[in-house]
Amino acid sequence: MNAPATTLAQRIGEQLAREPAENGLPRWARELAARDRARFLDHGLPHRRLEAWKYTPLDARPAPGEAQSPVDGFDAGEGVLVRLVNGAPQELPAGLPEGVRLRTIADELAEAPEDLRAALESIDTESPADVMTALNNADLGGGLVLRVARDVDAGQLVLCWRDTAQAPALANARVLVWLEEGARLDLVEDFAPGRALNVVQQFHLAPGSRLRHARLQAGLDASWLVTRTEVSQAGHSVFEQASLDIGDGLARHDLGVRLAGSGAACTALGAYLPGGEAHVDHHLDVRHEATDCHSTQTFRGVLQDRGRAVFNGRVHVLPGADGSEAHQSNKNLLLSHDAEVDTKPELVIEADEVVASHGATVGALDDKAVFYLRSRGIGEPEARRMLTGAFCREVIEAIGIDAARDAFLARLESHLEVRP
Amino acid sequence: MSSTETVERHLQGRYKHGFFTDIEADALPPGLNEDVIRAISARKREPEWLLEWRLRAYRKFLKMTEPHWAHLDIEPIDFQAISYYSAPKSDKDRPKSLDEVDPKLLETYDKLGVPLHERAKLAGVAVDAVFDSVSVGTTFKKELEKAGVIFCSFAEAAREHPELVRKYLGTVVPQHDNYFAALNSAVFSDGSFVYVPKGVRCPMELSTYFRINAAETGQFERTLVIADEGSYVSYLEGCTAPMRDENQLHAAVVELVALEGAEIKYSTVQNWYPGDEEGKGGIYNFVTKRGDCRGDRSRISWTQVETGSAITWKYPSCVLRGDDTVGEFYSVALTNNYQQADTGTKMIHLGKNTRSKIISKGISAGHGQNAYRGLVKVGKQAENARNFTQCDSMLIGKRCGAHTFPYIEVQNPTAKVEHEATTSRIGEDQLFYCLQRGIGEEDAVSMIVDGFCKQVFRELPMEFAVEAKALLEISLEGAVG
Amino acid sequence: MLKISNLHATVDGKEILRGLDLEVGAGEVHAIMGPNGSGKSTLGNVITGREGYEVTEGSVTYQGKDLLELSPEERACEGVFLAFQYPVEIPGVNNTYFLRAALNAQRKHRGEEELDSVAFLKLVREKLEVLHIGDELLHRAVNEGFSGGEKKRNEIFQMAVLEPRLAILDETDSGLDIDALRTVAEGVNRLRSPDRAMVLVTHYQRLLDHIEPDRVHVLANGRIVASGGPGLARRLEEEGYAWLDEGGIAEVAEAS
Repeated sequence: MNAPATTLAQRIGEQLAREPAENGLPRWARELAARDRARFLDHGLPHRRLEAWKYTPLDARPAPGEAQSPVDGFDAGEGVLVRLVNGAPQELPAGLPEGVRLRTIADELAEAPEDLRAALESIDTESPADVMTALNNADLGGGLVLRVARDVDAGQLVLCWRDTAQAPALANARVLVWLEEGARLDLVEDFAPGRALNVVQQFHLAPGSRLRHARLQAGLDASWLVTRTEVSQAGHSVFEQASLDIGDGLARHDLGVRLAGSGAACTALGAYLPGGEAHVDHHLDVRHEATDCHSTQTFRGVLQDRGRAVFNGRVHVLPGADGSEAHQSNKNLLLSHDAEVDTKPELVIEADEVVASHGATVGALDDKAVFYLRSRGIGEPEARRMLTGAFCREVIEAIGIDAARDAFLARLESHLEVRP
Repeated sequence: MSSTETVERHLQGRYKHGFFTDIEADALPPGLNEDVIRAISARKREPEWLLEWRLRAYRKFLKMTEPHWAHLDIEPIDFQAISYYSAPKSDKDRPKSLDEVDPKLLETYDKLGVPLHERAKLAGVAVDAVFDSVSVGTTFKKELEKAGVIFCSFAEAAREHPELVRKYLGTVVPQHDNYFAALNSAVFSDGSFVYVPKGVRCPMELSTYFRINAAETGQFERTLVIADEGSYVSYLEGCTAPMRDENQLHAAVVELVALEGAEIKYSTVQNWYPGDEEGKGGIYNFVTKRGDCRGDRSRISWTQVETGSAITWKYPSCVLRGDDTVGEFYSVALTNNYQQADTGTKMIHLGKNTRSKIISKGISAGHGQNAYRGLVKVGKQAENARNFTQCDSMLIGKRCGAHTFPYIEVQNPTAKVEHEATTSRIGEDQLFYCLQRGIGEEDAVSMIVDGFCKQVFRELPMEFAVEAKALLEISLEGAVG
Repeated sequence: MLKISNLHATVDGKEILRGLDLEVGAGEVHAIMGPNGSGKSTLGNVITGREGYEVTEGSVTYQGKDLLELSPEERACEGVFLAFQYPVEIPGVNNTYFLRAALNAQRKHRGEEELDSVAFLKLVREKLEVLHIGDELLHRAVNEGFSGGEKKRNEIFQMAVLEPRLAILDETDSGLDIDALRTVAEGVNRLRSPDRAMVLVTHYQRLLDHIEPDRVHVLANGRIVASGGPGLARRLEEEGYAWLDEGGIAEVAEAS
């Protein structure tokens, strides 16, 4: 690259200037993009003085790599597969079940439905902490919109995210999902970025709908994956998310859930195994806004080499959200002298009929357990691998989508083989 | 019960330390500048180096900005409207012994239950009492001297033991540590100083009672406790203030230094005036407390019962620098009406085989907001560090809040860190069980709350545990129903 | 002593008791049996005034007083005692301290002098001895970490100390081994007296092998559907509850 740009932020700025996102967009979308481009240029990449980015200051990271992703991907089985290359969806599948509509965000924007506008404008990007979302808005137009009609089971949709050598310095993409009343969807994502990818997802769950979301991140060395998932749940809807992070690069996942209708339930599961120079950061913010909602978060981490993990899990029970039940657990195995874990489980409780708990641990493998296995004739490396695997499997086995659970378990096993 | 009786009971129960003592005071006019600092230093007949130290802190303070906290709702503080020095006037002639202390002052301490004079000496507690800005008398001086223990006001220590003060002052809490620590370093008025020599087990509990009396006054005491090699000391502090409509500022700094094999137990029962039922008035309690386990095998234990103040902001912390050191933090924080508490601890593991334990019990009632904020950090070199944290919150009523913000940062794989937290409303089934046995609702609530806090009360010396329990009961009045 | 007429009660808007009638005289021991979900535990909770149990119709009169007008602690002070099916753990609150607070609240209510700790401890030791219960219970927090059997014994012990006029034992036999069951039964038998009434709520006959009731009632669908002597309990044990649905009710009603 001959450009004189020195920092990633500058390169992104130039990229935005070169390819103005305004083309073909309705006026409000152009305004949104222009406003947030200014915000990005003003704030720059997130830095360590921002509480939410304290342990993952993107401005201080080495620039992302320029590798090409492997071609192989998740076997969609009976489901529908969409490949997204450099953040852009390739050919969309035909023959989707009735009541399921999948389109590019550009096509949807051309029609400019009100709910799409409301969704895009709903995330406040004023704070420098939300600058990655501002950047995503500034580069509007790439990504997918999926709508599932009332009581329709959309089955399984697999999004396979890959980069080529032609990828921009940082690619942006958006995924929006609307599930109408009683609708169902299993969404599986397979991320193997080679460069930098910034994805914002917005899921809207109408009463009684269910979305199960499984995400695998196996980014290449020095790649970046920044995801932000905003979920809004109406009464008695169910959202289950599971993520497995085994990549060699950086991954930052923000999950924001609004339990806005009575009886809604949300589960977030995660296992992360950063080794080498990998860095995984989970930020969760679950808001109990209505009565009788349940939320559970279970995260397990294994850290090796110079791996680094950050966990920030916030559960906020708002006034009036009586009958809330919230449980959170984050456990970490720290297996190297050069690795680091920073965990911060938060509870903010403003209603009184509440049961809430959280727990966090950081430690090494239990020597007694290792010895027990060895005394039964199992070699030490194998014993450690078994125990480490068991530690993570607990959350992966709880994934509801069968195909994703099996595939994730297989990936976990092979990952542990390589890195005992 | 008739309604008049109810009202009377309520009035009596509210804040029993809310009296005001009419004593002629020598006070500086409100305002903050270098002249005020020079005046404070001159009144305390301080050595030149200490004045210089204060001025350095003041210059740092000027460059800092007041912090803003996400979970505290604070009226802006006008630092120019505060008087930074107020002393009972009789202090000008420096009472030589307790017999010369203004009898009205002694009466005040009587009301507070401070065993300051002869009668109470039987209680076996050595007391230093700080009234507004000045230490008014230290009991048991002779007995302590025999053991070699220095226990005196900070001003006296600066004059009599400058080498010790100079060596340790500001080494645990640096002047620029935070905004209020910098302010304190510039304007601190008095406080207690303790030095326990090598191998000495301090023969009695040491205690300081702090009292803000004058209006429009801030209290900025500074406490420095040094436990030399192999020594032991247990130190207690209590605090009260009269009821006033305006907010008053209390910004103290406490520094503890434990050298090799030494142990310091530091207990606080904080009952500054919390403001009224509407949230009017009350003390802003912004305190920096930190202990440094500087020597190997040393141990520092903080115990606090926080029931007072409109706003409490304090994180008594331990720097576990030496190998095999131990830090502990036991806390009960209760917020009722419109009180806000943001409290917790920091355990910084630096040495090898260090251990820390955190037990925090938060109770929120009325519109009270209660936050636990803590940091457990295990540094790269801190082999075999252990931490256990348990953090429980109880909610009484519909309009209160309980928040938990623990930070855990671990850089060493041999560490074992465990954090557990729960939040729940006061158990309805527990309440009903008590009611079914004939126990009235208020009694049942205080019984359950007392049980909830047991793990912390156990750490307090006996007399303090009794006082703490009584305080909780008073503070909870009107919280039910 | 206790007269319940046409009692209707709801929990969360769902009607559980639907016109229950029951009369228990001083000195009598009544057993209330019934299948799961028949409303047995609800009855105990309504009589003692637990929140969330709403009486929509009917009356409960106890020693001539309208019991439903009183707060839970007033009912307790008037001598109504419930041995809980699931005794509650209260961490940090010492068992002895708790019981003394309860006894003194009740004594105060009756205009009697409160007991100091010496007199109280003496009383407690007497009761423990009579009931063959070890004094290790005294030093622990209320029910905290107690086994199922210990919890039930603790309930009987509290009953012995508080000496209620009307005791309701809610499934006190459930989850007990035979030794614990004997201790509990013996405790209950010792407390039988001409001025004390007891209501045993149970699913099984086995407690009644050790405590002979004066009357047995069958509760189904929120009403007493049959009443009789001790023989009724044995029949329920042998034949279960199913025959009640097949027109057996009238049969028993006639028999009694």
